[in-house]
Amino acid sequence: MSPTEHDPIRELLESAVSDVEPAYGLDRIRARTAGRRRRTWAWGAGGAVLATAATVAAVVTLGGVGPATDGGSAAGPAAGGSSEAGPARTVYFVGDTGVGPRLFAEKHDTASAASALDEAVEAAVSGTASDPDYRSPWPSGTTMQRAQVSAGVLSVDLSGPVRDRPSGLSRATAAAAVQQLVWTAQDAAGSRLPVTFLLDGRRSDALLGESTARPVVRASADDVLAPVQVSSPEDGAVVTSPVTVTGSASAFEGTVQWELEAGNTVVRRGYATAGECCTLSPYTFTVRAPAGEYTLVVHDEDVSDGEGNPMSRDTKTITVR
Amino acid sequence: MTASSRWDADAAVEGLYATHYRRLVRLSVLLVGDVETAEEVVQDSFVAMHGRWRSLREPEKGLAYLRQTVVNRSRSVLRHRGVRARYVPPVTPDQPGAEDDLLVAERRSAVLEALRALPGRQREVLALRYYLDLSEADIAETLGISRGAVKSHASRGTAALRSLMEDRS
Repeated sequence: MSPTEHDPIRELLESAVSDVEPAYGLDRIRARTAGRRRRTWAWGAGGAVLATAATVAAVVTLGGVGPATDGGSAAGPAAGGSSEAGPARTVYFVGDTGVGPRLFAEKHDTASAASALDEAVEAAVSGTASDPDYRSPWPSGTTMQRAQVSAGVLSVDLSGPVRDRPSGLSRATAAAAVQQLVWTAQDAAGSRLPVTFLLDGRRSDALLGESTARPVVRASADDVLAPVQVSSPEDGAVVTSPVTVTGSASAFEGTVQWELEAGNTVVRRGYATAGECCTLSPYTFTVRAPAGEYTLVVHDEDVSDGEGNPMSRDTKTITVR
Repeated sequence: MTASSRWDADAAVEGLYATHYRRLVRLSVLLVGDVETAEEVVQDSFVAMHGRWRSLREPEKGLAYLRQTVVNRSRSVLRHRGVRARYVPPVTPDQPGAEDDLLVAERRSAVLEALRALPGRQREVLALRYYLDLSEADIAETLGISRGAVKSHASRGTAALRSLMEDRS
């Protein structure tokens, strides 16, 4: 599309807001960011390190806030529900975790059901995740030509400099990138057919240096998905209290810890159980907080007491109204 | 390394505030329909960017994050308002009396009203394309949708906005 200078729509929009003069807002922003510093993981004596998590089914609330319920149906903004033309699809992106690059799922709207598979895979290859901690690892210049299921074959056709692994890309990331497309395509297609990869319309024996000579099957969730992920609320969400947080985790003793931070202060913390140990299971918990801007951090337990053993976590910036 | 790439979070907020605050507020007005909410949305977005600066680090990335956050939060506010569609009162000029001002105000509320009648994605694509002059690729990135979807939302939105405005005149 090539908008012209004197497009009537441009003039219309320009005229609608040309006399909007916002009040001076920098002081208010500064007041809210003042004193924020790098978050620290050393919580000191009050830190809720959980040795005996077995009994915990709900939430610990701090600061005198009443007991929260473990409710999957509690309030929170209804996701979706707007008048979009196409169905939402799960698009996987890559993020860094304590166990290397892993996949994180995000819901993305599509324009139409007919093109949902195309759109989802295209978003995985060249789109942007809503959460700035996630990314698409495909080299710039990679484009998605077509993703389709035809005659019982699920295929993804790419174009660009993607046969060999670029020097700046680790093998682990390359493997994650291939699985990113397998998971995205299969979920969007509603199928578990292995994915046949094409490069400019022809079978490609490799992508990013990973063998694709044979159709690629879906690797197991525990091997490719992030050990801790927050599915809802999404980054940037405006929510009401109590906030129901849902996600999946495969964590030590099946327990995830969470903190709600305002600036560099932890205002709430707690933990939630995520089913059994060491395989991905859903968790949910509820947070009550006064209106404000927060960072929600959900992570696995720091069993090493701060030594080594990098944690896996997912972070969402949310606003409670 | 340029000087700006060594911005810390506070400097990033100040720099981007100076250059982009007004435009982002106006963008949000196009999406949510009123100035007060738009100011809140944009301030929230600056606070969020400040918290994210460690992973953004560059002004361009900061701006891209701001754009994306403003659009997402504007959408979130609308969702939150839910079905009780909020009436946008016609903006009365500071000094009423001058007919031109009234005409401007009327036209402005007419456009905002028409925008509000569009599906969310169409409204967002039109605002990013025609108000921020973003390329198709940048819009796709900002909204996390494909370029094909940007195209289809743009053409449907343009047609719908035209007919809404024609109905009024």
